[in-house]
Amino acid sequence: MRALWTAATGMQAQQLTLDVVANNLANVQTTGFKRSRVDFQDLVYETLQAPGATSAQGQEVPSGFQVGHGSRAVATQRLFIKGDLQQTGNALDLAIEGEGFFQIQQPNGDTAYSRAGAFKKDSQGRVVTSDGFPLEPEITIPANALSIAVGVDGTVSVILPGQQQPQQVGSIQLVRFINPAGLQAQGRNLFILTQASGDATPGTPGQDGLGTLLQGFVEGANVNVVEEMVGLITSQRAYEINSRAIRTADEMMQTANNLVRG
Amino acid sequence: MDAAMYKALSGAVAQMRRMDVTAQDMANSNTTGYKGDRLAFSEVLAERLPAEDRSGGWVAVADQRTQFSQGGIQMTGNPLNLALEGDGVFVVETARGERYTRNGGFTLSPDGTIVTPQGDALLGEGGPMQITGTTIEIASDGTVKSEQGEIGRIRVVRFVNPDQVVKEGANLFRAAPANVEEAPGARVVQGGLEQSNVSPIDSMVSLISINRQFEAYERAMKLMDSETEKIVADAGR
Repeated sequence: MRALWTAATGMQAQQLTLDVVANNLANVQTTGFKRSRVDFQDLVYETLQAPGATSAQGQEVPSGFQVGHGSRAVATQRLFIKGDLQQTGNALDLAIEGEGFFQIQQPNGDTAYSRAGAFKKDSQGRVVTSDGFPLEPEITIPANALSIAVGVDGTVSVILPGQQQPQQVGSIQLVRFINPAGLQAQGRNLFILTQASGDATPGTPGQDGLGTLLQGFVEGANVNVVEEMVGLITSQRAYEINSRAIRTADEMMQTANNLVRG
Repeated sequence: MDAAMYKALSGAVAQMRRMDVTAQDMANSNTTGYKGDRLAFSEVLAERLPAEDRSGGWVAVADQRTQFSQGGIQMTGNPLNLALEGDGVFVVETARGERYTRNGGFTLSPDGTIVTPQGDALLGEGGPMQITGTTIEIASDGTVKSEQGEIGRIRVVRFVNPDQVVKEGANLFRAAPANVEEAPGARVVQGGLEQSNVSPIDSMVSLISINRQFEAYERAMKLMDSETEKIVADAGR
């Protein structure tokens, strides 16, 4: 009986779902985190009788008989639905209202992309992530700046002592991808582009479909605890029913064994 | 010994087949676009038997039917996640020819073509669809647009006779070209995925019934065996 092995693949698939759901839940408070889901497929089938084949009596079989071998996980897909905005009042906390990613320069020189806009200043006044990776294009805040203002279009201006007019020190550019689900997560709230995501298209916030910037807010994780809990229950129950299938197959084999009297 | 023992055995074997199919459905209760199967054991069988033995009581699988009923649609918000509402399937181009699927979890290939996770192109009315631009908008009639204009229209077809469709795995169906026709009734839902149409309750009930029926056949075989033993013992006295 294939049922034993078929059900085992079902249990493995549900274990993987649990891993992904656990990661989503662990990141429920992670700024700019995007939840993932697992995509499953059915495994190959063994055709015991092809539909339309001719039977021994010369009649055409109306429909065939195929037995499958279970399911397998093919992909984890990241969902880029927007997370809730949280007000922090911090001048360098930026949320993207709409599509787009910040460009972050990694220590190896490569560009990574992020939705997490909780920026800080480093010792040189550069705008950096919590890991100290600078925002691209680089923006330096003068040490004596009294206040920082970030416009919806990404222009960063500061007010210096003795001056009344704000002075522009740089402007933030966002990028967008045709298929953000194709981005590869790097950890540290960073994504890198892949062949599937397509190239990054840079632009000014608020233009070409890019979102505007909102100062003093951060984007929370897009993890919905209730939804994840429902996912958790669903996968646990699916795990259970697959284990029940294993038990039933086992009992049937036991019954078959009983046929032979000892 | 008469055929009764073998008739009971045929029943037990049929239940094992049913178990395999049920386990397959249960393993795919979370597979996107999966369609469950149903087995039928019916009197149709008598017609297939040789004329001299139509006493009945023989059991084998008469029919396996894939249930093409609608699965629930889960919204994901991903622009390349497409669900179908109504009778219809997407057409994908594989190395082995055209295949059909209800799994609308698509992605983009390096050159911007809409593909399955395996890399097989989703076919539009004019062949594979290559996305140019940065936004993808797909209308319910399957029209694909970006900000640079219309790209194409997703081909949605239906099976004339769903019983003649073969499952290939990887969420793909195979069907003869004559068994496929345009499906004007199906609607494309962007940002959603169709869940498996396997009902866990039905599967659990099937499991119980399979187990009990299998047991019943075993009892019957044992009973017949002990009857035969008695006859043999009596005759030898």
